[in-house]
Amino acid sequence: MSAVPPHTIASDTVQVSVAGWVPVLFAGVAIVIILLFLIAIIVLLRRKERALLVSEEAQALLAEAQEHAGRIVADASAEARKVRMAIEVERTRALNEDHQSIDRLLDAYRHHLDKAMKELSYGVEKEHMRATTRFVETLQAIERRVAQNADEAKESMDSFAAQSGVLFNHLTGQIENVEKGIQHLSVALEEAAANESDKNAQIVRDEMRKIGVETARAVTDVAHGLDSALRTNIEKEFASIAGELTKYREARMRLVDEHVLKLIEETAHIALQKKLTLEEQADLVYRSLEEAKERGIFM
Amino acid sequence: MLVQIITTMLTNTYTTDDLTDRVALMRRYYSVRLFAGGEQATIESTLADMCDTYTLGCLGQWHQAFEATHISPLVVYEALDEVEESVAGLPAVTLYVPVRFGHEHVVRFGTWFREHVMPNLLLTIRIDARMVGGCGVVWNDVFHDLSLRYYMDRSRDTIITLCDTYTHVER
Repeated sequence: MSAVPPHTIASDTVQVSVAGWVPVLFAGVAIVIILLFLIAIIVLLRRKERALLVSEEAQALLAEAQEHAGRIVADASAEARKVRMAIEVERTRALNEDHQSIDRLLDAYRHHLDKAMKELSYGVEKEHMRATTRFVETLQAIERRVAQNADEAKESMDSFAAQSGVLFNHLTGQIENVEKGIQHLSVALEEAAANESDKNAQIVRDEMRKIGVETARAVTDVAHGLDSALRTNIEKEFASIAGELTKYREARMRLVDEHVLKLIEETAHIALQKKLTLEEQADLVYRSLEEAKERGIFM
Repeated sequence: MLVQIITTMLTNTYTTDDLTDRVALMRRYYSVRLFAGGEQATIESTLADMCDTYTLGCLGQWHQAFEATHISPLVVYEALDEVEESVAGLPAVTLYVPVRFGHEHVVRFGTWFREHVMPNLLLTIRIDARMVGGCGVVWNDVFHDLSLRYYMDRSRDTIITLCDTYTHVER
């Protein structure tokens, strides 16, 4: 068996194949070239077509842009309206605040004015109160004096009691004297009984009469002394108390008078200030000037 | 000359405040007229914005009186300082009134004082609401209250008796 080298057979086959494929290859190349040409034409046509479409797109885009711009303008207008509304609201609020501030300022002004007026009237009232306080203090001083006089009256009564004590001591002394006299008399009576002498009896009777008279005089003197001291003290106290009461009443009446005059003066003050015309005020000034002249003030 | 100028000024001026103000206004007028090239300046054109019509009228009367007595503007201008100094030496009275009165009443008050108290007297008018019903006067450094309070004090007993009558108070 003979062996055939495989590469020889293959080489022949390849040569045959290559020779057969050349036209095909040319045909293929030609087809490819034609295809490329067609593609180029198509591309060119397409590009041309696309160039025509650009104008429509542009219009569409323009329309879209216009629409978009319209929306933007509408949005901007709406936003502007909102901003304007906000500004308006803010302005109104600011105005209200201003009004409120002005109102508050006016209120504060009125408050201060009222306060000033009240302070003014308080000043008048204070002055009034000061005058009243002065009177009340005077009254209190009088009351203190009355109390002081009461103390003095008590001292006088104590003094009176002391004087009475002296008088009672004196009276007691006198009574002791009487007792002594009676003892002396009893001794004398015993002696008289012992002696049964008319002479002694007469002496005893005289002694008894003498003692009785002295005792009666002493008691009368004491009684008179007591009566005189009591009467003097009581009259003195009554006079003092009556004087103080008169002063107290006068002071009270003076206080009432001051109140009445002050009330009338204030009322007249308000009435004259508010009711009189300028001409009437001038007339009152003239009247006062004439009064001053008559009083000789300008001498 | 100074006496003549002051006398002229006092003919229509009754208060120290008015006299001081008017002298200042005249100084202004003469300054413009003499030193600011305003030979044609008048009191009205120079001072119209600085005072009221009544004051302008009074200053016009001064001006006319000075011209009638041939007192030149320069002489008046130079005398103004002395006039201001002399005001302090004039007899004066302080009058306290309850309300502000106008020029007309001020003139009447001033005239009354010059007729009844002293010629050439100058008033110093002050407003005090407590002087209602009359006035107050300071004369020779002594204050005299002639207001409602004075008249009430004077009629004190009558008022109290009247009150007692109506309130049935027994004293």
